[in-house]
Amino acid sequence: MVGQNNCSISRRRIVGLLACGGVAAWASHGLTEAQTAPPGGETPRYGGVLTQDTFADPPHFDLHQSETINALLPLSPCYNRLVQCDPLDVNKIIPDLAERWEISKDGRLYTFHLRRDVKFHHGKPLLAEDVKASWDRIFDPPKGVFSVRRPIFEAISGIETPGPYTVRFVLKRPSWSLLTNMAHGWNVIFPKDVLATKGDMKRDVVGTGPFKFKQYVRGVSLEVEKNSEYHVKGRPYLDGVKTFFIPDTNTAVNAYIAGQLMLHEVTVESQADQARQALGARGVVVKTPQMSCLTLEMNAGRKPWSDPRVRQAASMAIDRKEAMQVMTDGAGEMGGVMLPTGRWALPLAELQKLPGYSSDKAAERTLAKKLLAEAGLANGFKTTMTVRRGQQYETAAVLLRDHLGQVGIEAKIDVVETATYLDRMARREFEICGTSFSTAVDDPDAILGQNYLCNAGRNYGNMCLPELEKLHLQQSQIEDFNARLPVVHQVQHVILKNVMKAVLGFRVTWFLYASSVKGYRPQYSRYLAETREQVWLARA
Amino acid sequence: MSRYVLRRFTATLPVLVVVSMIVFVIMRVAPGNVAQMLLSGDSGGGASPEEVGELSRQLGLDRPYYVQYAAFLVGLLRLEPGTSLWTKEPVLHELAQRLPVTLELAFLAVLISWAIALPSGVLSAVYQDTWVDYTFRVLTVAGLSVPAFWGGTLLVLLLVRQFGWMPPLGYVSPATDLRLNLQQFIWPALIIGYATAAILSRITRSAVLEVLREDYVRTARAKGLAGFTIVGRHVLKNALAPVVTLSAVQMGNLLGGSVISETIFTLPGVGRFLVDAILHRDYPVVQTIVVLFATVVVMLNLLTDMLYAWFDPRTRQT
Repeated sequence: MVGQNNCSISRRRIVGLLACGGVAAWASHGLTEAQTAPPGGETPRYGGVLTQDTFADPPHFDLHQSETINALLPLSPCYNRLVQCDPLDVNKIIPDLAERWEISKDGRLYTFHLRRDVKFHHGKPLLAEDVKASWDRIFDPPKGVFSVRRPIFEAISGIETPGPYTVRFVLKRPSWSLLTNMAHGWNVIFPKDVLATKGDMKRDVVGTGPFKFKQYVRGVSLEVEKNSEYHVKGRPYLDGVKTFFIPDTNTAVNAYIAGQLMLHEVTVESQADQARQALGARGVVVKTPQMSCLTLEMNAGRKPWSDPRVRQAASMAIDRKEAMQVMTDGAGEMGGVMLPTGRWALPLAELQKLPGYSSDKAAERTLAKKLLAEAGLANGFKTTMTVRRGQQYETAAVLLRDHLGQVGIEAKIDVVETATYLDRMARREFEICGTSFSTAVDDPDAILGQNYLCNAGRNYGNMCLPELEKLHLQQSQIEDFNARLPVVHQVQHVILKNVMKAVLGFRVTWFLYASSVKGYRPQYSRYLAETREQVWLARA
Repeated sequence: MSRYVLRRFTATLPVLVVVSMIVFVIMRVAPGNVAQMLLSGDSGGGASPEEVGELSRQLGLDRPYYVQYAAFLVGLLRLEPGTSLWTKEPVLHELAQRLPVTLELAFLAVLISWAIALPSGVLSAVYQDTWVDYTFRVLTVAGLSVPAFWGGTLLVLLLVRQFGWMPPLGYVSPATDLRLNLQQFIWPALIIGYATAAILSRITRSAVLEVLREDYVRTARAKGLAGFTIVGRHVLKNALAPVVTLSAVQMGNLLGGSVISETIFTLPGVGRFLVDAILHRDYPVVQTIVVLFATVVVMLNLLTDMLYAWFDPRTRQT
C-alpha cells in the first residue's frame, strides 16, 4: 500500500547478516508493519476529527526544550523523527524519516539514509542539514537552548552530512540504546531555516508530520489538520486532531462520556468504571502499566539522609503493596528501577531480597529500626517531607508519613505548589520529598541518564556513585541483550541497595476511547510519538 | 464640583501606585523561579543553575528590583505592560482574548440573579412570615450555602448521566454561533447567578419590607390602590437602590473571573488566566491584571463618590 522503500532493522537480523556475509556495514530491509497495514485488518475510513485532551496548555511549542505531555500530545502529529518505535510493538525500532541505516562494526558510526520525498509544512524539502541542525541542538545545544534529554545522548561526539540525504552520527563509544532513545517522541526534526531565523521553535510549528498546525486558542484547544502532501501515501486517515486543555479530571471524564472527547486517560480505576458503565459497548477501556512511578526522594546532601542505613530503613518502612492499593486502587505494579512488566526488570524473587521489597513487612520494619539504631538514631528522628500540591502527591505523603512513623521517622508534611516545589528540587533544598517521574522508554540508558547518574537532572537525592557510573558505561556498550541484561540487573542492585530513590510503585493508566476509534494502541509510555498517523474513525 | 472631582481623582493615584507596588513585591517574594519553570516545564528536570541564570538574564529578571518595577510602571503608563514570560504575547492581547468570556459570563450571571432575586425578594416581603416567605428564604439560604464547585459539578453530572449531554468544550463567540455560545454559558451563569441571587433576594426582601412600612405606602393603600400597583409603582422603585448598588459590586467581583466555574465548564476566562499566571510566576501578566482590576474598582468608587457629591453637595466639603 505504501512505502516500498521503508525498511526496518532488528538485532537478530543484523547478527544473521553478519554471520552469513561477514559484511562490514550492517543494514536490513523490509516493509514496516506499522506503515503498511492498519491493525485489526479492517478497511480504514477517511475523515473525521479525533478529539483528545490533556490537563494544561503547552508552555511553548519547542519539543526539544520541553518535558511535559501538554506539549508532546497536541504537537506530536505535526512531526517525524529519524526512527520511531513501532506503534504495534514498542520494543521494535522502525524507520521514520530515515528509510534505512547502517551501523559500523565497532558501533561508533551510525549512517542514516533519508527519504527523498519528504517536505516540511512550509514547502521546503527535508535534507540532511535539517537533521543535523535538529540533532545538534539536542546533543550539544547552543547558548540559550535547554536540551532536556542531553545526558542520554552524551555518547554522541558529532554529526556529519556526507550527502544531502545522508546523516552520520559519530559516537565517542558504542551506545546500543541510541536508536531506542532517538525514537522518543521529543526528538523531532525541525527545518534548519526556521531554526536559523527564529532561534527556537517556541512559537512555531513546522514539521514534516501527517498533520499541520491549524489553530491554538490558549486555555481551550490546539487543532491540527491533515497534511495532504504527507510522504506516506494514503496517510493520515483523519481530517484532523483537536486537543482540548481540561484541568479538571472529572470534567474530562464527563466530556468523554458525553462523546465530546474520543480519547482520554485516567489513573484511577473508579473513573474508568464510570466510563465503562456509562458507555458500555460504545467505549473501550484498556489498562496499561506505565513507565511512570511514585517515589520518595531522600537528599543525601543532608544529614541523616546521607547515611545509606537511614535510607535503607526508610525504604524498609514503606509497605509497597499497601501503597499501590491506596494510590492506584491496587492496580499498580511493584517495581524497582525498570518497568516491572518490561524486559529489563529484576525478577520479583530477586527484588524481594533488596531493602524495602520483602513480603514480610513486620520483620523488615524491625530490621529498619535496628539499622537506625546502628546509625545512632535508636530513638528515631524528625524530618520534613516536601510535597508537591496535587491529590496523588498529598495522598502518597500521608501514607508515607504513616509508614515512616512506624520505624520512628517522624515526617512533617510541607505541601507546596509546583513553582516552589520545582525551585526547591532544583536547588536540592529539601530533606525528603514525595514525588514521581516518568521516562519515555523502558531503556537503561534513558532511565539512568535522566534519573540516577551523577549529572542526571532528576537525581534529586544528589548521589554520585562511581560504581554505578562504571556499570552504566559497561552496560551501554554491550550489544547483545542476553549479555547486557545481567549488567543491567547489577545496576539495579546498586541503585536499590543504596536507595537512591525509594520507588513506591509503578502507575497504571486506563486508556478510554470510543469504539469508533480504530488503529489506536495504548503504550506503556505517553512520551512515545503518538502521531495519530494510523488512527481512523469508523462510523459511530 | 470640578475641584472636588480633581481632588478625588488625585487621591486615587497613590492607591494605584501602592497596589502595583504590593503585587510586584508579593510576586518577587513568593518562592519559585519562573526561569526554572520555563526550562523544565511542570515535571521538573535537569536545568543547570547556569542555564537558569542565563534565561533569567534573557528575561531581564536579574536586574535590580527597582529597575524592574520602574520598567513596569513606565510600561503601564504607555499602555504597554509587557509580554507574557511564557507565551511572549503582549499581555493586553492575551487579556483581550479572555475578557469577552468573563464579561459575558458576568453579564449573564447578573441577569439571571436579577430574574431570580427580584420576584423572590418582593414576594417574600409581601407575604412575610407565610409559607411563600419561608420557601424563598430556604431557597436563598441554600443558594448561599452551596459552593459553586459542588453545584457546578453536580449540574454537569446530572446533564451527562441523565441526558448524555454536556455543554460543548471550549469557547465559541456569540458572533460565530449564538446557540452554541448560549449552550456553553447558560449553565455556569445559572450556577453563579443562583448563588448571587441568594444575597440579592435577601437584600430585596429587607428593602421592600422597609419601604412597605413607609407612610406613603399606607396612604396608597388607604386610597384603595391595588396591591400589585402599590408594589410595582411605589415600593419597588424606592427599594431598588441598595439592590442596584450590591449588583454593581457583584458585577465587579465577577469581572475578576470565576475560577471554579470557568474550570468546570472549560471556559477560558480571566479567572483561570490569572490563576495560571500566578502558578507559573508570569509576573507581567499577574501585575497587569491586578493593577487593571484595581483601577476598575478605584474608578467605580470614584464614580460613586462623584454621584454622591452630585446628589448631596454637603459631601463635597468633607
